[in-house]
Amino acid sequence: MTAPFASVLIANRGEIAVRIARTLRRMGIRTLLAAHPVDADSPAARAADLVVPLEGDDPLSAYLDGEQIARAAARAGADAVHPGYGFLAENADFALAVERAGLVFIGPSPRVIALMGDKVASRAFVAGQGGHLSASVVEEDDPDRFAERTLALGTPLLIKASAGGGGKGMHVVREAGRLPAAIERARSEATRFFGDGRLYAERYVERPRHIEVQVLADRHGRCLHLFERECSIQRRFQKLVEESPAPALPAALRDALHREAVAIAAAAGYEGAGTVEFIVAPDGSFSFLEMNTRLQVEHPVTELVTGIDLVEQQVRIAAGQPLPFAQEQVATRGHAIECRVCAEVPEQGFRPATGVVQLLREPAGEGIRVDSGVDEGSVVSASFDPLLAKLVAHGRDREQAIARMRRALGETVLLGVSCNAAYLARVVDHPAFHKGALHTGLLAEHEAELLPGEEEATARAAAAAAALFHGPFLEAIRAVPRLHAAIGRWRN
Amino acid sequence: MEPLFEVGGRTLRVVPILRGSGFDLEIDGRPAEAALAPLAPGEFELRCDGGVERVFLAQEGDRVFVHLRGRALEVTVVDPLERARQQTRARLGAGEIFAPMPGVVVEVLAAIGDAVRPGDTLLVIESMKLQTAIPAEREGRVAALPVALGASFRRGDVLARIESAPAEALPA
Repeated sequence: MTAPFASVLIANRGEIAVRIARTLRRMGIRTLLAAHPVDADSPAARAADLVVPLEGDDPLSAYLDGEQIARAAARAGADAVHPGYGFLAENADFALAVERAGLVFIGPSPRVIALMGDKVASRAFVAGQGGHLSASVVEEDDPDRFAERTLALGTPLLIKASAGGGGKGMHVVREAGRLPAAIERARSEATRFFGDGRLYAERYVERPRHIEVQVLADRHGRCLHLFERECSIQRRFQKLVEESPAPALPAALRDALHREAVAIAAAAGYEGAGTVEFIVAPDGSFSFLEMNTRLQVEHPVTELVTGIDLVEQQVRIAAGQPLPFAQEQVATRGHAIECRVCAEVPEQGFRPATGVVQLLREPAGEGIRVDSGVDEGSVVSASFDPLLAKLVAHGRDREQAIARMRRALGETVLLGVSCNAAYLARVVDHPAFHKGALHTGLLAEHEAELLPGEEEATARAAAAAAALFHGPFLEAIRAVPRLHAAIGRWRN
Repeated sequence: MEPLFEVGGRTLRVVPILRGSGFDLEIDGRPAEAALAPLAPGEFELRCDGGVERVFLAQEGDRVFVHLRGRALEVTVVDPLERARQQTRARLGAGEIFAPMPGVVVEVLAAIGDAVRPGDTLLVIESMKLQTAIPAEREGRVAALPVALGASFRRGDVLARIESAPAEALPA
């Protein structure tokens, strides 16, 4: 098959830019990367054929400057733009800017991004399609009585930002008295993160599972699913460990989720790769959460179990090619698990960490895939998301995937920036994770057991290694042997 | 002056003990019989307290990063003189609150001159999409808020200074 485009520009950075470049180059497509000077020497920059420099004093705002990126892409001769995830990936104005510059946006149409990217609009759309939804209250329907109407839902409640995502602006309210404070905090976060303070509230499901369905739709009327991903292992409403298939999911429920996801995507006129997220209650009832109109961070688990390269399909669909397989031809093989390696300190409330990667040893071996965006010398700053790399393990069943992940985490060495690799190993080792009875509160429930052991022997060994490695310490010893001799600290 | 090694909240005193042409280590008063042999770049074999294990090491200034037993630990080599200076400053009650991480000030809840109690939120900072409330650590009055709303700061920068209120100003 000939390459659908001659040249594609990646409007992203980090691990996802590296991952997209890998597929583009395999397809024989000239790969351009829009990068701020802080990323001029990044693994992503080296993975591209050409780096298109972005201007801006603040690197984050450069990656959010859709007009500049669209212009730069056109000037550099790109035929299409891949937005990755985050940044401008779900920004309808950016998709429009790319189209106006005469290029193809690799993703759904601006109309579908606008419809499904807004939580309130997408819920109304899904309701109109007869989809499953939890009872909810939308603030703008009657702003003055928002708190009152919200309380009528009954506690516990979840307050969310209408324009939200990634756990920002989300607050659980268990006592009615705490509602006003939660609303204020959610609004302040929503305004800051999304420039849009609109809120909505829904009944909070205790011990929920977060299960999402990958869909692919082409421009020729074919819309199908690539099975589901379990994303229940979360901290601060953010995913940390994902897997496919979802463990211990009854077949009828699994089929119902797949059917509903495809129905929603087809009704919306979806094109490209997308994800329909659901909340599944312990009783097996489920409700639509949101749709992500882009590639997901956790897409590799689906790629490993289905053998389908999602980025390749995104590119082909955007070029107008039909999907080369039907639903019956998509099958899963084995089980895949992904762990997100993030620059953070799990023992201190997962606070973000910064620094320079001094030493990096990535795992390898059968069934192991590493999607990494850093290497030795990389600067991890506060400007961006703390995700450094994703470890993905594939096995014939969940047990083997867990064993391979455990070995991969044990082989991972990252020094210079605090990261959560050891914490992830404790999560993967935990009996509750092995059991597969997952829910989004699992990490919080077992918080104490997931702390590192405090061992004096480990601290002694670390201090000994540090002393024997620390240049100034060794030099000081070599410089004053006679002094030590004189004070009699000799031993035989 | 013998340096101190801080690791995971512990402070260990490491003293070299000369022996023949080489030396052993004494850690917190107990001999450790430690030795380090290179295996590959950044990778070593550590012998300590009779055990042999593989470790990875990297250094950045006074910080040594150690990967051992499946964990990454940061060991800070502290000059005892510098530490004494810091402790004196803390005792004199400079009342400075340092940034725990780099970020941006997204909310200012206190004003200069405000009376605060421990735990009162002074500022909300944001770093890598995470918001953190910065509380007062002691009772007193807000004397300085050097980082303005929307401004960015580095780790270790002073975010606020709390001065002890004169005794007569405190409520009875």
